[in-house]
Amino acid sequence: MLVLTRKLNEGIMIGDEIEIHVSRIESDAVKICIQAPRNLTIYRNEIYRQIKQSNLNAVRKASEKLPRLNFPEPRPNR
Amino acid sequence: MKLARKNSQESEAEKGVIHLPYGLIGLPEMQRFEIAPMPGSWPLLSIRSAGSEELRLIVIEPNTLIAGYELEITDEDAELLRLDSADDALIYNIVTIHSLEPQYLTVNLVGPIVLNRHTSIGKQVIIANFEHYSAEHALIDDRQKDDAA
Repeated sequence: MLVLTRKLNEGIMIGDEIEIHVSRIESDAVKICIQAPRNLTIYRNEIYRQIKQSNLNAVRKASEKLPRLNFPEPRPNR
Repeated sequence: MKLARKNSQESEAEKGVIHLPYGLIGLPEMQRFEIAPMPGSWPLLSIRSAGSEELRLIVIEPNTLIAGYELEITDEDAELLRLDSADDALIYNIVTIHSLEPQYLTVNLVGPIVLNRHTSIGKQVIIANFEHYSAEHALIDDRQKDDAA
């Protein structure tokens, strides 16, 4: 892993298109600005990990037969 | 030309086919799904991937099922999906079965699949107001009922 030290208003480039810079430093928080192509989605990593794990927990093999599940709400009238 | 394209899109939608060009978060290969109701388990829907290994997810449409669920998506996601208004969007939330006896199912309110209903193209997004919702919101929880019995 590459580790760099950057000061306020300094930044880094990842390749030609992704730019990250430090816009504010507080005692226990850093504000960072990220410029990246639209097709790249940027996530906070704790949320990324949480949703990834949730997806992995939810996915089943299509061949696995599912039992009937009892949802408590009645079917509304149309 | 225009009509033909519209027709082919409609027939995809009629078959319940949805496309997620970026896949699911952590499962980027899951891009094309067929959506179908689960007989006997309304309002749960099954979405099945048409890939090398056939996989399935259970989802719900949150509309009337999750009281007070008002998701906001980022401008970038709205633009990517070409959503001009909320009416253009279909929302599916992924359900996790943690246990069957007793039944304990949760629903992910933080990372819904948002779909453009006109193009059938969607994306699993992280909602902008993620701080207000849980990725493990209890949908069916029979655990306490069982304890009491």
